[in-house]
Amino acid sequence: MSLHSPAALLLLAALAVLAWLAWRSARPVRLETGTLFLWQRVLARHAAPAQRRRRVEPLLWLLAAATALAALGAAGPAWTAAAGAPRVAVFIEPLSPSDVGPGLAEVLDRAAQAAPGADLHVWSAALPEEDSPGRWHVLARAPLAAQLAQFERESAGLEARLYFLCRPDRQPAEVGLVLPRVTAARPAVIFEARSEGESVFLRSGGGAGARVEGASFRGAVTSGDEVEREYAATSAEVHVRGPGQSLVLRRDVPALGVGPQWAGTRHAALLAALGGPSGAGTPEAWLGAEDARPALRLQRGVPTDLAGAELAVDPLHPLFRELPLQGLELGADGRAIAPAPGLRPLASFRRGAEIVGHAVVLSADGRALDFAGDPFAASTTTVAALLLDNAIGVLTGTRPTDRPLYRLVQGELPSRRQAMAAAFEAQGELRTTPAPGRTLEASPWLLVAAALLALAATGVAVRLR
Amino acid sequence: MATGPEIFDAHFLRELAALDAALLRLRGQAGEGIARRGRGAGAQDFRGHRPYSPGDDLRRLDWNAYGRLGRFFMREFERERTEHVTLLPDQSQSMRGAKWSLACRVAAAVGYLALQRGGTAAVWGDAPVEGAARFARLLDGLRALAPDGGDLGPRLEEIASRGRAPADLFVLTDGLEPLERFSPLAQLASRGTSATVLVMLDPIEMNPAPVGPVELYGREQGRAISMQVDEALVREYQQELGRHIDGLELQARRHGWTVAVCESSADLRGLFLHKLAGEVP
Repeated sequence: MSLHSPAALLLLAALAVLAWLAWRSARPVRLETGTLFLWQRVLARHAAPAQRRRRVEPLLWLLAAATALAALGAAGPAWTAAAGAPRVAVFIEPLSPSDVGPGLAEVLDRAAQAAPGADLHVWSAALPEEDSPGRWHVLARAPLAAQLAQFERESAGLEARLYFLCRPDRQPAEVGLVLPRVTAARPAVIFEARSEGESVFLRSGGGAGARVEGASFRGAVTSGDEVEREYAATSAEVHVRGPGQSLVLRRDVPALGVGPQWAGTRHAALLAALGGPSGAGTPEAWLGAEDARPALRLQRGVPTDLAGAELAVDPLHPLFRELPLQGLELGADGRAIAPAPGLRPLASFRRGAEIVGHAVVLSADGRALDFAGDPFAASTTTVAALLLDNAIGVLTGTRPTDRPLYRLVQGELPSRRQAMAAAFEAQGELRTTPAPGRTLEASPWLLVAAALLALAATGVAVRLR
Repeated sequence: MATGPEIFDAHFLRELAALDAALLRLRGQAGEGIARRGRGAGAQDFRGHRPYSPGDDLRRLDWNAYGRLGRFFMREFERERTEHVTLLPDQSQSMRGAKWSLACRVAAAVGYLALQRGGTAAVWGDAPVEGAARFARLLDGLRALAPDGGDLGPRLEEIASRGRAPADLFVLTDGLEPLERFSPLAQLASRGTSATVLVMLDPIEMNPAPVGPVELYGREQGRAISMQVDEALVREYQQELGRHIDGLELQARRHGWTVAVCESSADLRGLFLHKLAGEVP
């Protein structure tokens, strides 16, 4: 704190005068009287003994405060804040979806070197490690462009920006420096894992492939700086271990329940073709079960004269998608389901404009697919297998043949951008001008307060008069 | 001795002369006539009889009554009430200061007027003084007194216990005694004493100011209490004082004596012409 006019503090001497006046006014006056006994009677009636009460002199207090504030205000105190360290906003693009690392410590070191002495404020979509230096701001999980927009919005008040990006595709802002997120070539990082049947495909950047267990290498296709390696799964679980990565792909067979109607040889063969009644936990669908849901139910029709009747199907319904109708036998059992409200017919027997009955209906809630007979036994094997695949797709939302056989159950895959992070030349410039010091003048406020107190003292004085 | 020459100075003596004239004028305007109060005619205003007390003037014995009733009775005249005054200044310590000065001056003035009218005046305890030329003796008697702690109550009891009650008794006091101390006045009134009590209070006792912190010293108690005198306390004090004075006046009305209240700073002329005009000789 500095004072523009220290001599004005001499005005504080007036406080001594006020203190003397206060002491004098508080000193009891000695009076002689013959009526002491009357005063004693009065005092005896008072709840609070009057002689113990000390009268506060608000006027004196107000004047003392006003004098002190006026003296201080006249002295002109001012505070000048020292120039602060520049505040640099640092954006760190994560190398994996859920954490900043690897190499976070190294990135922060580089940030400190790029902005020596700066006060670092770090923004990142991933959570920092414990004991990470700087002040952290967690960005929303969003595409990179949205993260950068949020970062630049929130760091608008800071002196400079520093970007650590995986790729050099970001033009630096007006005040900023773009640095590579990584400084050296990285080993192959897998950013895509998929399966087609028994084949597992792993896509990564160039470099040595990861160690794979539970699958045998079949071959690789290189395209630019990417490599896609194909493996033939030999186990229910495929373990992939690479530098900083540990992935597990597990064979994902739909869990199917089997009811009493699904008991024929053909039924068992069809089920085996789908992987069998496997899968732990609650079945995703039931085959040939009456009461369970969702369920595929057989022999739901009654014997009906279907002579001269033609089969009409809803060709756009998923049940008939990619299904050759030539081998499909929906009326071989001579059964049809009587029309009823709430049932959605997917295939019907018609005689002219007349509906004789339905061959396939779907319940109103979509959780029961009823067949009038047993087309899985009557149709050709291929058509029966395709029909079963479609039927399960209708009940569960995905056909077994549409879902990958191996599914990633452990580990996270980075984005292609993250996996392909590479070193590049720094772009832009970081100007770390120190934050300017600010001077706070207190005189106006002190004088205003003194004036208000003087006004209050005047009010009290008028009231006392 | 508390009284000094300054109490009865030349100015005061001139004031007494002027006061005498003013009272005579006042009574003349009121139709009383000088003759009634004057030495010649006043003596003929027969008022009644009272039992003989040892020491009474034998010239006023009613021998006719003695002849008929066989007992001594004294003839009393109207003039007697005003001409034989007994002065009793309260000598309690609370009377110190302006109250004592006023008490002495009022006593001197009442005595002066009595002597001027041919009567006698006596400071209680002293021999009566007769004749205006002996007024100085009365002043000497007053000078010999001091507010040195003699309580009023015992003196009143002593006066009441005497065989001969004074005709006119002037009590000059601040009245700051328990009310029962004034009960002897009732006995005296029943025995024909015309008693006048002049209560004089200091301004600070009548109208204290809310001065804040005060150390209040009681002259009679000889000790002090510290207190914060604010407006509320002053109001309560004045109510208490009013109750005390009311009690005194109630006794006066009940027993036929007179009480008047004034400030110790009261002007002597105004006091006699207004408050005491009917009570002084």
